[in-house]
Amino acid sequence: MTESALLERLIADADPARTPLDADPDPRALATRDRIMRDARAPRRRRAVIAGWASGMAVAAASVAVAVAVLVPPGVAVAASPSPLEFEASGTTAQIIGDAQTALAAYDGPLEAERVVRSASWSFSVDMGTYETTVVPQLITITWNPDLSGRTVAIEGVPYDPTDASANVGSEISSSGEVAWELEMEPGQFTTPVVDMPGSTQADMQAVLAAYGLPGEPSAADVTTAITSVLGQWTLTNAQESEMLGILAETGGAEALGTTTDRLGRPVTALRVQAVDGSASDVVLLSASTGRIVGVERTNLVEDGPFPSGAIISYQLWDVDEGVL
Amino acid sequence: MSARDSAPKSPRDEVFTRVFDAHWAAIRHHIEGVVADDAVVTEIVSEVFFRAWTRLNPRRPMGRIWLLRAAERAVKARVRRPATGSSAAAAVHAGVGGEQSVPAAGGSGVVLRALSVLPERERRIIVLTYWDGLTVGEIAELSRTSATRVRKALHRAHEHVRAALRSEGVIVDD
Repeated sequence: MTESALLERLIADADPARTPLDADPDPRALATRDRIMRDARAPRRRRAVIAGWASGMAVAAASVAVAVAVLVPPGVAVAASPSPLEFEASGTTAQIIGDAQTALAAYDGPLEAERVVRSASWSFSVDMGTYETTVVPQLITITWNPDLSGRTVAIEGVPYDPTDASANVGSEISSSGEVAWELEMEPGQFTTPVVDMPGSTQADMQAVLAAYGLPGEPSAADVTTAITSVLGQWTLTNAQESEMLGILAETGGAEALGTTTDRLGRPVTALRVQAVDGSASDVVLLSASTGRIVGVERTNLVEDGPFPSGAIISYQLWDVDEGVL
Repeated sequence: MSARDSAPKSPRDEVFTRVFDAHWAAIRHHIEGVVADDAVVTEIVSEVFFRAWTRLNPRRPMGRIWLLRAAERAVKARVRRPATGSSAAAAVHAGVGGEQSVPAAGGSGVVLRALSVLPERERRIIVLTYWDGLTVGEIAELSRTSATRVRKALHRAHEHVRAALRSEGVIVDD
C-alpha cells in the first residue's frame, strides 16, 4: 500500500458517521419526509412562503415618516440604553462577507425588489413628570406603491425599563400586539429617491446608493448609512444585497466582530463600521442563515448629551418574520 | 403499505419524495460527520429537507450538492447560535471531532485529533472527499471555486494531516 493510499485509508476509516452513504431512509426518516409534505403544504403554506425569504424577508425600517430613532428631550438624563450585543470572534471581514454572499447565492430571496418593508426598531419613552424612561420597541410595516401612496403600521413591542438589568440582558423584542399608530399616505405623499428599482449589477446598486446619498469615494460608514436608507424603503433581492455587501467590502473599512444573536433571537454575523469623525460606530448584522443584511445598530463613541460613550443609540432590524408582528 | 402511502401523490410530492429518498442517507451521513448527538442530527436533517421542500422546483429538483450546501449552512448556524441552553451547539463538533467528538476506537481517535487541528477549509475538503465521497469537481461546485484550487487545498491538507499524525506518533510517510 502506498503512503498516500495508507493515509487515505486512515482518514476514511475515521469517519464517525453512523449512517451508510447508500442506506435507504429508515421508518423514522420516512415519517419525517411525509410530515414535511403534509405539514408544509396546506395549512402552513403562507408560513412556508414567508420562511422562504423572510427568515429572509427583508423589511425595513422607516420611510421619512417613521424614521424611528431616539427621541429624548434636551436635558433629560437617560439612565441606560439597550445592552450592547456580545460577540464571539469568528472569521475575518472577508470571510464574513464571503460567507454571506455564498448564502445569498445559495438561497432564494424575493424574485424582485419589493416596496414592502417590515422592521423592528425602538425608541425611548420619557415620562416628563418623573423623567423615568422605558425602552419601547416597535415593529413597523411599510407598504408603498409606484404612485407614492402607501401605508405604515407600527405595532408596539413590550416596553421595558432600561435600568432593569434582567429585562435588559437580552433586550429582545416581542410584540404587544397593539397598534401604536397607522399612517395612510395619498398618492405623491411617500418620499423616495428611487421609485423603480433597477437591476442587480454592481453599477445598478452603486446608482441606487448614490440616489440615497452615497458620496463619491465613500467611507464604509457612508455605505452603511446609504444601505440603511435603502433597506428602509425596499426589500431587495439576494443578488442586490450581495452587490451591496461587495460595495461595503471594497471600502476596506468594515471590521469583523464575529457571531451573536440579534434582538429578534436570530443567529447573525456582524461587522463594525466606524464614522470618520469617530463619533459613532455602526454594527452591521448579517443573517447567519441567509446572508441577508438583517440589521444595523448604532453605538455612541463619545458622550453626547444624555448618551454616554458606548450607549446603543438606535437599531433597526430587517427581515422581520411576519409571525413576530 | 399504509393508506397514506397508497394515496395518489401530487407531482410536487412525487419529486420531493424522489429527492428525499435519493439523498437522505448522504445528507445524514454528512451531518453525522460533524455532529455527535443523533437527535440533533435528526433535527438538522429535517431542517435541510424542509428547506428543500420550500425551495423545490419540480421541473429542476435540487441535487446532492444543493442539499449539502444547505446542510453546511444549517450546521454552521447551529454552531454560531449562542448557548441558549441548547445542547445542540455544544453537541456540534468543532469542525470535526475536537474535544466532544464521537468516541473513536484506536486509530480513529488519533486521526480525528489530527483533522481537528487543520484549518477549517482544509478539514472541510478532507471530510467531503473521504467521508462524503465527493469528487474534486463536486467539491469545487459546492464551494463555488475551481477544481485546481480544490486539488491544491487537498494536497496541502494531506501534508498537514501527515504532520499532525507524525506528532501523534503515527508515521505514514516513511
